[in-house]
Amino acid sequence: MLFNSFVFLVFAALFFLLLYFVRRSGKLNLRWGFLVLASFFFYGWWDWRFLFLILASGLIDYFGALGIQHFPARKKFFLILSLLGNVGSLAVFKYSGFIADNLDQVMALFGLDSHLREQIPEFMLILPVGISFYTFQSMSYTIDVYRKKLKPTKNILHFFAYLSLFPQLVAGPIVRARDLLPQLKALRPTTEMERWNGFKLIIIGFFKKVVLADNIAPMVNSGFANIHLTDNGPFWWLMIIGFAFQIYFDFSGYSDIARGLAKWMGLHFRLNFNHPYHSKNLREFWARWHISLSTWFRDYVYIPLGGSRLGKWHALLFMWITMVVSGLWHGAAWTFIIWGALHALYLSLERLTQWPRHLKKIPGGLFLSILLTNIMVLVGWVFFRAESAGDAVIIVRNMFAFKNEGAFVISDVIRNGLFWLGISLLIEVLAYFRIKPHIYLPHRYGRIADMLYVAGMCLACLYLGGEGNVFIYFQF
Amino acid sequence: MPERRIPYVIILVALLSMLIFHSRDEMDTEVLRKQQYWMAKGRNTNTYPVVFGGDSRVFRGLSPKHFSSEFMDLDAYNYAFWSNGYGKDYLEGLEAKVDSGADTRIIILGLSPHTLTRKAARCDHYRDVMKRSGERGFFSAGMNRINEVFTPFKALDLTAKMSGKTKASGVRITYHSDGWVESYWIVPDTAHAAQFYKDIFKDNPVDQEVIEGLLDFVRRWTGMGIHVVAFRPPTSHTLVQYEYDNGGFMEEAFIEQFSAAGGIWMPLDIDAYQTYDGSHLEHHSAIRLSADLARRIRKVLP
Repeated sequence: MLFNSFVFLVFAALFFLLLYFVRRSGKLNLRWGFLVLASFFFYGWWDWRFLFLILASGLIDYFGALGIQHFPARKKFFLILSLLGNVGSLAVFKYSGFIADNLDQVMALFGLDSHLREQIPEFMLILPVGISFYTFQSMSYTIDVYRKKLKPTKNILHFFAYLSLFPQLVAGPIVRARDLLPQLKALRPTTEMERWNGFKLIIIGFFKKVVLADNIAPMVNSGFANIHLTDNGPFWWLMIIGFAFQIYFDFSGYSDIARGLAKWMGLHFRLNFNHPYHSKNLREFWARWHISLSTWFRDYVYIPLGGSRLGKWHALLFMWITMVVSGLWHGAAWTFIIWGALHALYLSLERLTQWPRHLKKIPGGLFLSILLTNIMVLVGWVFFRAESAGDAVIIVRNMFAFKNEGAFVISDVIRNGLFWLGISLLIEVLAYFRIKPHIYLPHRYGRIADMLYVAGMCLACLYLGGEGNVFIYFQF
Repeated sequence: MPERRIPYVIILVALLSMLIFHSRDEMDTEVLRKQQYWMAKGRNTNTYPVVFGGDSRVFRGLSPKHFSSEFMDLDAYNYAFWSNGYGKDYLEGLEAKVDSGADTRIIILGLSPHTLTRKAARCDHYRDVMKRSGERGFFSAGMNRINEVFTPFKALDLTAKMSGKTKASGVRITYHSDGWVESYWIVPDTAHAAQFYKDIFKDNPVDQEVIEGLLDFVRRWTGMGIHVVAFRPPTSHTLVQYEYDNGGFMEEAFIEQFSAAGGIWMPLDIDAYQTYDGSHLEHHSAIRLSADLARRIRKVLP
């Protein structure tokens, strides 16, 4: 079920109405059972058969965590079981096609026709929505229990309420069990202020997705659908800047809606995006972009590998591994792996040369740092968006050839996209300089301005939306 | 006040929505009409004695109504899609659209060289429409009125309107339930499309495998008693030349193969029709072409 669909509106209205009564009953099992049922319904609307996958993945981790607690001598066994279950389901449903394709190509080098891809059952080639998110969430639960940072819950409904909670089930944020399990237990009623803030977050999220991302998307899609359309440098810069804003507003919009819905449920999800394009260096970018995933990789991959404990060169190696795995997490294609590796390269150069620190010392250095960081991020996005590494190389070449010879293709779609790209840039610039006109108004008028601001965004969502698209991060 | 902020906002939005709805004109609801058109095409389960297939040159260039009026009032349907090519999925869909019980059955194919490329044969838009119409079908039925109230504006049209300007160029479109998209530009620009066709065949020339696949279907259809007619949708001379030079399309050889497979090729005089952008026929020419084709097909069919 998509947040930006009518069916979700009906679902959400019914859900919050029933939640009111469920909450009043004061029974935890009823509340958790209701959350699980609603979340399964939300997910099953897309394809009910894949509910069994969430169930299987969850059951392995639920019993695995209990095993770790009750049989400390065999806790490693239970941890490996959990990791195999989760990584295994990712390997089967997300990476089997990619692995088979690559093995086929390797075999072809030796003159062998293996046709492995053709032997994969069709259902394994369907990517279950949100699999990368809920498997990571589930894994973090058993790992935390293994590290004794969390006591496993004995109540299976409590566990599944955490794992399958619908606002974040299909596209994050990846919420840690130690944050969410206690909140699910508290049964805290919501305040008016929380409901207003939640409402505001939901509307802001919809505005980002429906108005900004969906209006920019057709422009970007039209450019990337035919990369030979033009070799005009400025055209490709605008396309990739468009994509940078599209993916940012698409994904952060989803996160905002998820956080807003959680607030209405009396829960708190941490911030997932914090104006990443304001970053002055790549390290800061990763502290601002998809925060729940970057911190997940930091805590469950980078630090366990050794982090920076074994010296500079080991730290670099572990960072490369983490970034490449993070690239692979985003998609089963070489373009994503290259994207991850490219960011690892950027981070390595940053660590070794400390260029942001040097740049800061010169006049205008701060803005130069932001510019340079964003240029690197944009080049990365080319690989993320392009259909093949070859296409990406052509686009990057066009971008840096600084040629203004080919036609700057203009159509209604591109014109509309550029208009919304301009609005997006303006919003981010205002956010950078913290310009919020209503804070200069007296308190009472400030509140009215706040309401008008939200009403304005509601109207924009209703009347200025682009053509409906699914959220980009659903495919991961 | 703080306790009632959400209901206040909802009431304000509802009031302003009513105001917007009553002050908007038909052009503003173009996005909705487009969505409804594709939704209807995807969900249409009817079959017809005459079915048109192809890409945007066909759905803009052939009007089933005007074809039928010159062809014994036989029901016709335009089943063309964006950037479409003759891939297997689409050809199967086209076949399923033909009324198997009709006495006279005709499939009319618009054959621009791009429809015979590998990329076009993926039929991305056709597949997307089929998928989306299945997904949203449940709630879209009966929702038209609500959709109409909340049809998005195009930001550029809105800014032009607010500044007192009317849009000087751009496509004017009417979507018809028989699949025709009646189109014209207030200010035509026949050189416009050429920039989009630059390099369209790069790494994507006319593909022999796609041609073979199409010919297999032509043989199959003619074997089933369906008449298969094809024509090259009229475009500007520049585009025709460009498609010869870059597409690798051997028209004469193709016509020979197509005729051998049992198809009927209809040569057209491209100067008899006008495009608004160099690639797509403006509405008067589309009506003329539909009627011309009907008359000529009637003459050649037994």
